[in-house]
Amino acid sequence: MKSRASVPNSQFDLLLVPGLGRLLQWRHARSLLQIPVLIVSVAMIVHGLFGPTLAPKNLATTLTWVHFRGALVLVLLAAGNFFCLACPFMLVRNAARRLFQPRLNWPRALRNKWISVALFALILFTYELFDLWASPLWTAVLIVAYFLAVLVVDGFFKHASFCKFVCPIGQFNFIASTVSPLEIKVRRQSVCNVCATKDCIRGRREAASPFVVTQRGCELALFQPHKVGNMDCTFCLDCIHACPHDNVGILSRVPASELMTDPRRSGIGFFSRRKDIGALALVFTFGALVNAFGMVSPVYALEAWIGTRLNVHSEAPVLAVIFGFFLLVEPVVLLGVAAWITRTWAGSKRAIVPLALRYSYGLVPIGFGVWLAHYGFHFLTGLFTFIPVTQSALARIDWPILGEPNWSLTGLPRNLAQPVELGFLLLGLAGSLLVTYHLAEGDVHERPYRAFTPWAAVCLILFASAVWLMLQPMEMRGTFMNMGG
Amino acid sequence: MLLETDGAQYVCRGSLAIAAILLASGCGSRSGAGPAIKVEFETTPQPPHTGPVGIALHLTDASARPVSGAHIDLEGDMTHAGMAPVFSHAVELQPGRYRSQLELTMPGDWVVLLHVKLASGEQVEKQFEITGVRSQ
Repeated sequence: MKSRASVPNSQFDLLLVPGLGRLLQWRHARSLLQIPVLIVSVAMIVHGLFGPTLAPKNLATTLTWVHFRGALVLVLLAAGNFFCLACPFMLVRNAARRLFQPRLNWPRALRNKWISVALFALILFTYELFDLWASPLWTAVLIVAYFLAVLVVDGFFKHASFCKFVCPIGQFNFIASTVSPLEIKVRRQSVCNVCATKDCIRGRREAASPFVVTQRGCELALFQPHKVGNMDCTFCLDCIHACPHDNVGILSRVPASELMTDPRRSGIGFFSRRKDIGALALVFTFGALVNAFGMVSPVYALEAWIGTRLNVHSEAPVLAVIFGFFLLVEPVVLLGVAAWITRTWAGSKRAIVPLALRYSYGLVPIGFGVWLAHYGFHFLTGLFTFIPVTQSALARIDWPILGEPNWSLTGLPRNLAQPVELGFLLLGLAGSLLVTYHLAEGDVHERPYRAFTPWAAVCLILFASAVWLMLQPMEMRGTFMNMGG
Repeated sequence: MLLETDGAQYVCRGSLAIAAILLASGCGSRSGAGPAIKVEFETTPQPPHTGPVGIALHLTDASARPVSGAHIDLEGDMTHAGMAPVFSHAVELQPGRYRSQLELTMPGDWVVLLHVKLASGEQVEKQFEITGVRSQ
């Protein structure tokens, strides 16, 4: 019988909410959340492969590109990384691991985020190149490929190698959840100080047979007493279920506060020394802008211009130029100049690259604001579109229990969604200004405003770019090379 | 040996069963071929821009005879999911020649679905694209 450690009075603990807390502490809670998501995923795959080819009529495209993305960022904003908790890929992986046990450890040289950062950028690129938003078939193929990738990686490699080192959606969630208000952490450090078993990371085994694990510990190598923040935490609840002292909770905190400090983090190390996580923060931030840029009218004029200059007739090289500029050139120039000013004008003792790396985490909130504005817009304006698509899908299999499709059901009018978009952008800007000021205070005690100024300018440039994008007419097509100039 | 205790095996089996049912029903539905109707369309203005777009339709049967007395509903969709569709109805001006107007609300590529009910009561679904719609 567990005895619950008390929670500090100042903190809210989701596990103490009547009903919900008990549900989450139930050892099958994760499966309970994963099962419906898996069923929906299977329906999306089937409908994507065999259903209507028009994206607005198909569950694969509608649920993936309108509802999943929007709900994901809104839940990250309001709570935390609960989408990784409900990840259906892990349910399938767990089933597969009943049959095949992985034998290998993930290669030491690959224990970083570089693969996942590259995959994250690649998905953004292929999204534009193949117009995934317009293709139910390719959306379904992407989901199937994801399932297969999970099975292959975690079929060969132990622990949660896919989540920690490969999954691009997971990395998106990890970096975005650094600004979430909830975090899985220990309630009382003093309880951990006298804990002899360390079940939260080791897991629990049967007394009679030590090779039989009855409850997993953290598969992502996050040791609760030294865990800081949400980076790499999938909210899988394993540590909560494993702790014999009931000393792990889902606690409230100041959003983005983990970006302001640089302690040694269990399973991660120091943010300031992790170039791969810094790169993830930058792809997350600048990728938000390039992803939004792909859906407004000026992108087609730019693509046509680049196509003419390069004398090419395929989209790939043109997109490569655009992505290269926005994901490499622009961050290097903006952060390089800001770091140089911080060093020369504010007198920071750090070199240019470590400076840029340290402050790159300060851009995460504005990046998240852009993702929120973009995905939130689609989510709100297309909120009810899953209803007629589901009605239609059921009617298609001669089971019209929801009635005839009501295609006039959509969502909020665009003019109502736009103020919400602006609110998200302002929230992101405020968060980034706050974080970068804290970083500047820690960096240059005597003249924090001097260190802060160039980074505030970077934040404002990103904010202004996002507002400009938001005010552009939205336009979606996949035929820029044939548009006749 | 590592034992998982979350019932994932049952879930996997259940999901496969659901997939099989959906696959079977999805593959087996809507296999009937409708009457052979040819639809030619023309939009104005050219190039198309947001706002009202006139759509002229010419329906002919397999013998190239005009198809008269059809009830035609039009639905315009963006290629991106989640966007509000637009609806309209076509009126017959001459035998086989119909005219309608759609209010295109966004620039980009549009797909127009024609829900045609022939005078005989048979139903036909057709679609065509209006690409490169520009801002007005």
